[in-house]
Amino acid sequence: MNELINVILENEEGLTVALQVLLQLAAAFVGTVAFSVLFSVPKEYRSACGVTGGVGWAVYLMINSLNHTPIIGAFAASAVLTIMSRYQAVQFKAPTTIFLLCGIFTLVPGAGIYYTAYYTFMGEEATALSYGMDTIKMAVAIGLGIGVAYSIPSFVFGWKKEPEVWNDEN
Amino acid sequence: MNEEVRRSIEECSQMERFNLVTRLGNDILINGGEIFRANEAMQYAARVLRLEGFNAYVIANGIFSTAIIDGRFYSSRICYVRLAPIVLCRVDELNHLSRRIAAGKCGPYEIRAELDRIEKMEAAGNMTKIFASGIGSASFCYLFMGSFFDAFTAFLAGVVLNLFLIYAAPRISVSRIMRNILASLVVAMFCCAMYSVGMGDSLDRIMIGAVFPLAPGIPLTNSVRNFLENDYLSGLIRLVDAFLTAGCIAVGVGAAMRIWFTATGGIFR
Repeated sequence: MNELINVILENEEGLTVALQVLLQLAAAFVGTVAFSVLFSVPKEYRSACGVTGGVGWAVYLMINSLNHTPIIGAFAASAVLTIMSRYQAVQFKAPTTIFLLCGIFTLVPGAGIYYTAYYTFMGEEATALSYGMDTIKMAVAIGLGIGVAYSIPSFVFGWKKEPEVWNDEN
Repeated sequence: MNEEVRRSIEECSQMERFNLVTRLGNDILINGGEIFRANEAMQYAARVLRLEGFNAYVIANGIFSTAIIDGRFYSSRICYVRLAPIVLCRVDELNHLSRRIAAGKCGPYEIRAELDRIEKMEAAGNMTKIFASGIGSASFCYLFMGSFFDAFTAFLAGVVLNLFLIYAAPRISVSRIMRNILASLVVAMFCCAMYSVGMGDSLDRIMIGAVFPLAPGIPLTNSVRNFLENDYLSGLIRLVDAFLTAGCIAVGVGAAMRIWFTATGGIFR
């Protein structure tokens, strides 16, 4: 890790890369907050949603730049993202959906859908098919990521099913 | 449970209480709450409101519930829940309400008043949503390697998209499928037009950002969660929704590009 930071700090190219990464994370945060507004998330949870989206994108970027495997990146990112939203849900005593639905938007294969459409209509079926397959693989990877994260028992996140939880609310 | 709540429960007719419980579940489901949440909230409410033998079967677009009335008859309700836009602040409020009900702090009349209030709740006005859609499009355009110039055009496209969805789409009452195709067609045409007058560096990236608010992230996530809860029927309903939405975006964008190519002779600039 230290070596990596040194490499980044020592040459100018590294600095621009670091800046780009920061800007990307900021964009992921802002984008997720914007979507949380679209889905009418209560104001007090919006920044938490943004953090979820930013962390998801950070994991995706990291794995993608180290291994060049977007599918595995999407899998890991959605797993981390789901774990984060479950943790936040317990902290805020709010439904997990709120954080998960907004955060996951950074990973949805919007680009894949677009390229599939583009090449289909340009008459390049082979390219379109390969993009289509990639899109489906991404979707399955996201699904599996959520699945893995949901298999973690909820007591890990400090969730109690006993009615005390219901009673201590105001 | 205090005396007042107990009294109001006894005052209220069984029919009314049964209706309230189903309405609670319906509201959670229609605003984007999970199926298990709707189910559990109904079970808790039914226990507190003393509905005998209450049982519910909840799927993605319907609620079937029964309860024993007067200790003799089974009474049942079937409730169709349409696929509606997600309003998460209502789910959050309903979640709080459900906690209060379960703790016995909320009588039937109060529940009804709260439901009336929550059903009208909104966390952001139309203008804020239109602006947010633009910002969302712009940041996703940037995330997918667009330049700042692209992001600016995507911002305009996102605004146009939500203007269309909020003001134009409800007037021409069409099915979800046609609405999605039309929306992506409109937004893709807009992108082509902007690009051809010199706004933006890369058409691909502008378009990716612009159609992002339509992308089926929500049905996909919900579908996966339903499959994980062994609820294959609801999972299938939502999976079909996700794939149809993706297909609609593809058709809309593709058609727009075809039209633009034919109309302008295939030269973008």
